[in-house]
Amino acid sequence: MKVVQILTPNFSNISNLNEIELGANEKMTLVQVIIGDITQDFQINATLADNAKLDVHTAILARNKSNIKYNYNVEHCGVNSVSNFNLVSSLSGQSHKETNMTIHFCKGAIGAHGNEKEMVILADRAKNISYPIIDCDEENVVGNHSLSSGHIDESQLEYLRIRGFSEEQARNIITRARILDILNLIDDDDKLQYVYEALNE
Amino acid sequence: MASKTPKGLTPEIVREISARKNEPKWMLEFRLRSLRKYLAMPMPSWGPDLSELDIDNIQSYVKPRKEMVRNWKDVPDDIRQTFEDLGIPEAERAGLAGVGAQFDSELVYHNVKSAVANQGVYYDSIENAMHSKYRGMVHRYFMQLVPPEDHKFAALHGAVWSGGSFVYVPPNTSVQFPLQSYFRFNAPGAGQFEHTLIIVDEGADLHFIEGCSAPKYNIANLHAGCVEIFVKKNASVKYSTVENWSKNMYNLNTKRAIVEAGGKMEWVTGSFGSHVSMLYPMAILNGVGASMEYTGVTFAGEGKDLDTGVKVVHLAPRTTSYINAKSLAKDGGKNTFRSLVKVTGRAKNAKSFTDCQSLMLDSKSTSNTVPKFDISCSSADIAHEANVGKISEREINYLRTRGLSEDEARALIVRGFTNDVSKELPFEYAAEMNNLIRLEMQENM
Repeated sequence: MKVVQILTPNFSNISNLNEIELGANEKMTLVQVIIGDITQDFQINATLADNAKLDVHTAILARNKSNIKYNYNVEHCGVNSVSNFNLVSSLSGQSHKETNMTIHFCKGAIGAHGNEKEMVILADRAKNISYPIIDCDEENVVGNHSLSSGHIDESQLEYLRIRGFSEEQARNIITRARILDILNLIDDDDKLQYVYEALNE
Repeated sequence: MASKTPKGLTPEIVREISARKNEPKWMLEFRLRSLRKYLAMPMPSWGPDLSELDIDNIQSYVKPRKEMVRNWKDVPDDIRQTFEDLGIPEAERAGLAGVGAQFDSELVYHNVKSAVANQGVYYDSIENAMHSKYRGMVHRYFMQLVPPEDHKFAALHGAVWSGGSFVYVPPNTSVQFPLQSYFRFNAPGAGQFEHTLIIVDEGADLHFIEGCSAPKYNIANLHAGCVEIFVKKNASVKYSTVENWSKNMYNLNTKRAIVEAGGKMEWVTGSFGSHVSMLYPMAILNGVGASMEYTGVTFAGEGKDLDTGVKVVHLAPRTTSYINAKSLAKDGGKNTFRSLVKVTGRAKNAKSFTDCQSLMLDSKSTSNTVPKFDISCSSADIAHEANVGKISEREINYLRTRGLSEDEARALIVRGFTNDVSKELPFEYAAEMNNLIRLEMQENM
């Protein structure tokens, strides 16, 4: 099952997903793209049974005075269950984002794998807070988290500037490139159209 | 006066402690202000369960039978034997620049080698420093980094602190050998609240070692010490701790450093003991190019809830921090790694890397990683990696095919896992740490 959720200035089908329950061997891919001046809380709560797999790919391009709180909680209850959370954020203007990510391995979730990966690009007056928590009540599991937060590499900007792009255009191109892998997961052309409209604003 | 204060905490007890130490008026007022803060503050609402810690049943001051001396021969036989068994006098002879040995609430021995004293290094009990030519420094710096308002147990410490060391290293002085303070806690149902205040002046460097241990009793003991370190411009401090408190101990210690431009603070920590620990050494990187490194290992065995970690605040440009934390949980132990990396808008081009790895050694135990990243600077580069897992069967099988038993293979892998910490310690302390790991691995095997 694949779910695509979009939140742009002109379109929204996003909703909180508080009760994702993946039964044995069930798989779900969730793709989220959130663009604009947004003040909102987002919530994902999932429980995974034996061999269940959840993949979440989220891109957040927050502008102006956005204030975003993003909560992601996954309970690995089943053996060999797998979760992957890939979050790419670009916070421009005076945006503020707080991300709470919790992977919990319940006792008995033997062979479970939970991964969280977050990449953040910050503007000068933006702020990012991340709480990537891994709770582990089972020995035979693997939990990983990685975070990289930083700025756009000057050499990349310079490369584009000398080819005629303005500073802002160059930053947009690089930011788009960072979320391209997530955009490629959207197979609904209408939704993709809304995303590109928002990106071009 | 009796050698112990009554149980509980009242203004009269605080006045009695202050009177025993013949303190200046400002310190008594500070203690009483801290007590008021303590009584007004709630217990922490997060972290390990502290509900069985009853402060009304803790003796906040226990005085040993004899005053502090500067020769081991003058230490009472039974106390000296305790420190001999811990290897402290031998370590002093072998390669320490000075030693302070605390027994319950007071130092029983304090000495610094003449060559080091001749460099202008001052190392003495904080009580003596308060009456020395350094009294102005004590007044200026005491509990400025960890004010009583910081948290409930900082306020408690401010009210009843006793013992600990004061160190001053003058500018451009390199202390070739480490100084060591060892805290031995022998009284059942008592608290130990030593204060360590270290000021390392511009361009100087120091390695300070702290060791802690206690016998086990059936009633709770409390350790709520405080360490404050001032690292001046281009100075460097390494603070190493191997802690092996007994399983009835609540270890609620606070350690904090402020690092000025070009300075470097290095925390090396091995936490093995106590019933409950809440310990998060912190560095405030206050000057351009200041840096912090944290290397720590925590081993939570049976009956232990060890909540440890580190905090760093980047306040200035080009500051750097590197955090390398290893934790192990075994026999139903609970391990929590908790950290904070805060980068303010002023910390242009700051860099921080956090690596925390947890190893679960059985399915009865619990391991949590709870890092927090608070980033307000666009040009900062922040990276974090965390892994939780078990010992790989492949690694065990590899070692077994080379003749090791499964237990030996596991112990070898654990020693390799913690090697980052032991290699940062002087040989004797690395050996002690490896010995503690071996004992933890043997328990219940």
